[in-house]
Amino acid sequence: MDHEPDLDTMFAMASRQRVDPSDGLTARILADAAAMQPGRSVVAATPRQGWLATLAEWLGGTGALAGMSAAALTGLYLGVVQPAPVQALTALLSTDTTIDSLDLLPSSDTLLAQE
Amino acid sequence: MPRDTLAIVSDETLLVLYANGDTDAARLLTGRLVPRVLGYATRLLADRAMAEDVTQEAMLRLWRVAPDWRQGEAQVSTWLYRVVTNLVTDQRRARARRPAVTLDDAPEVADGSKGVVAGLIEADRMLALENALTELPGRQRQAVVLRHIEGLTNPEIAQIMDIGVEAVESLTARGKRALTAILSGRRSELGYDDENEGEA
Repeated sequence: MDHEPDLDTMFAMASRQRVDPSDGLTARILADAAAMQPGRSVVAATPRQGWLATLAEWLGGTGALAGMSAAALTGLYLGVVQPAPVQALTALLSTDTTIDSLDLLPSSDTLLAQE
Repeated sequence: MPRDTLAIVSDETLLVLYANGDTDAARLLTGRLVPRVLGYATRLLADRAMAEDVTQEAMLRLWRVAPDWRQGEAQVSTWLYRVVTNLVTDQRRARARRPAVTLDDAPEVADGSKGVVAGLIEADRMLALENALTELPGRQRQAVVLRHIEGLTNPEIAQIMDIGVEAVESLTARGKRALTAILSGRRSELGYDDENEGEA
């Protein structure tokens, strides 16, 4: 046998040894882990977006959607209630007025007579 | 400690799972890493209580760094070895004198199939090795333990110790020569003479 201690054999023995932690150490490490662990979800779940929010986003935001809604309601009101100014305008536009002739260039005789 | 049935899952993946709130990931990582870290710290410090403190602190730092862990840059185990190495260096600087190593400080031998005498001889050899390791300069001891007991490669050790690969080779070579010289004077303590008598 070699008179030198077989260092490699001793290393092999040492590397096979498993150094098990005590229950107390394991408990302390796991307690640290629980205390240091971030929330169950690092990235917060995005709430499901409703169709109204999607429409508002598509049209340019909730402000634009509110303006469009107000305009639509105003149109509906005018159409149904027919307030007096609207009736007058409607009557004026619906008057059957015909123009038989339109003299865009006055007669030159008139100009001469004035001279 | 739950049995690690997810051996195929890397330590790094488990660390990311832990950072994302998985409650089992910490248990699995603890089961995998703590025996290695504790064994390394025990061999460097030759003091079980101090080794446990270092192990707990190293694991605490791992939990703390988990949310910011940069995947692919380093192995979790290599990172831990480096933290332990630095913590042990700090401990050694702070320790006023080196306490004597007792048999209680040596890791228990798990293999119970050998005869009682053979088991005692093996335990004596392990104790002798642990004692001899304490006589090495700190850097030599770290390099020898990482290379020959923890089984890491020289580039990994260089990364852990923050030195070049050639320096690692030099440290381990000098460390082995020193260990051989120390242990040669203890052959009878290690049972080699008894073995020779048995062979004769």
